[in-house]
Amino acid sequence: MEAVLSPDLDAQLMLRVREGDDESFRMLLDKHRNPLVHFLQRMVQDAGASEELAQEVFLRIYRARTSYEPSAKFTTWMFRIASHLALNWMRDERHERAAVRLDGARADGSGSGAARDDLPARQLQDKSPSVEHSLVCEIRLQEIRDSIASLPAKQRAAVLMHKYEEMEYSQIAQALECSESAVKSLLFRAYETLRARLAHLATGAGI
Amino acid sequence: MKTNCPTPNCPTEDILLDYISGRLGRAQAAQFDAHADHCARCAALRTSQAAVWQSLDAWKPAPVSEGFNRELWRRIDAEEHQSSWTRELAAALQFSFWKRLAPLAVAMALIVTAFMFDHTGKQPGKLQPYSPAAIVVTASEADQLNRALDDIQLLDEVDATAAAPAQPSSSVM
Repeated sequence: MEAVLSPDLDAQLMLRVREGDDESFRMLLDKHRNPLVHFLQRMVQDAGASEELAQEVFLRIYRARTSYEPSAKFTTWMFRIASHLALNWMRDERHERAAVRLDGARADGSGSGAARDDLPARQLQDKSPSVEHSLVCEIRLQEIRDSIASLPAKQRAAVLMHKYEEMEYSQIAQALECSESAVKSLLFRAYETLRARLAHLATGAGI
Repeated sequence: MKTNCPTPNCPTEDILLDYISGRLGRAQAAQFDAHADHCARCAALRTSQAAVWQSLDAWKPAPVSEGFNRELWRRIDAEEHQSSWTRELAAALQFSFWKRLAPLAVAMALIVTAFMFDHTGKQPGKLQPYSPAAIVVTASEADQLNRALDDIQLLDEVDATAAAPAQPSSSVM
């Protein structure tokens, strides 16, 4: 893990957590809760499971507070834990199948659980007055979700960290425990697949 | 990593990714644009990658549950509570604790050992195993009893003789 030369505010907060300051942990939680849950939502495509996994990530961070050393950027460390948990979750074939089932249920609006119910409703929040347009949007979003879901787990994680978390190649490499060139290769192949699957959406502006 | 662009001096894939994600510097972005304007392959890549980027932008995540923090703190508190008594137990089981008790334990062990040696074979209430020696002891006890009874009988006879009136010496035969 490479040393962090620039001051990382999160790392400083974490050092205070190490000294027993729970308020600093609360601040870290408030700051990173949404990005982390959203990353995991897109990764495992199951709202309930993503919150469970996010809780586990924060629990692990809290547990590790006494031995914390700021050897890497806090977010890199956090996404490393998150990727590790998500990849393990996805490796489980049972969960993989369940995710596919839930996706199907989500598409027809029959998903269960409060957070899960929110997902299609929120994604359909569109200013368009037409139901038809909303349906088209939902179909396209489903296509995007399916395209991401079709990617191998590591490629998926790399794309999500690159696109949504705007992480550097080096950070993604640390989070996925591979080299920078391997990350570039993962991203190259992933975007190639996505281009093939999603290029036709270029003309359909206004998703 | 090079793109599969047929034109010489085509930008690498990571330059394309940086261009699309807006991480490329202004000068480099202009350079890429100038190249793509004359290279159909790179222009197509730019268009399709932009489409991917826009599509991904449209994917809004669901809001996080309101009770997320509360649930997390509940789990942390539960873990802390659990770990507090496990810490106490671990502290009680620490080596230093046992080190202090070691002399006492050794003394106790010595006392018990000495007691065991002292009382070996003298356990009251415990049945003795069957052996010929036990029979000998029983026989000698019976002889002793017989002899004692004979002695008592003899004494009784002596007493009776002493109490009786004197007889002529001729009757003593």
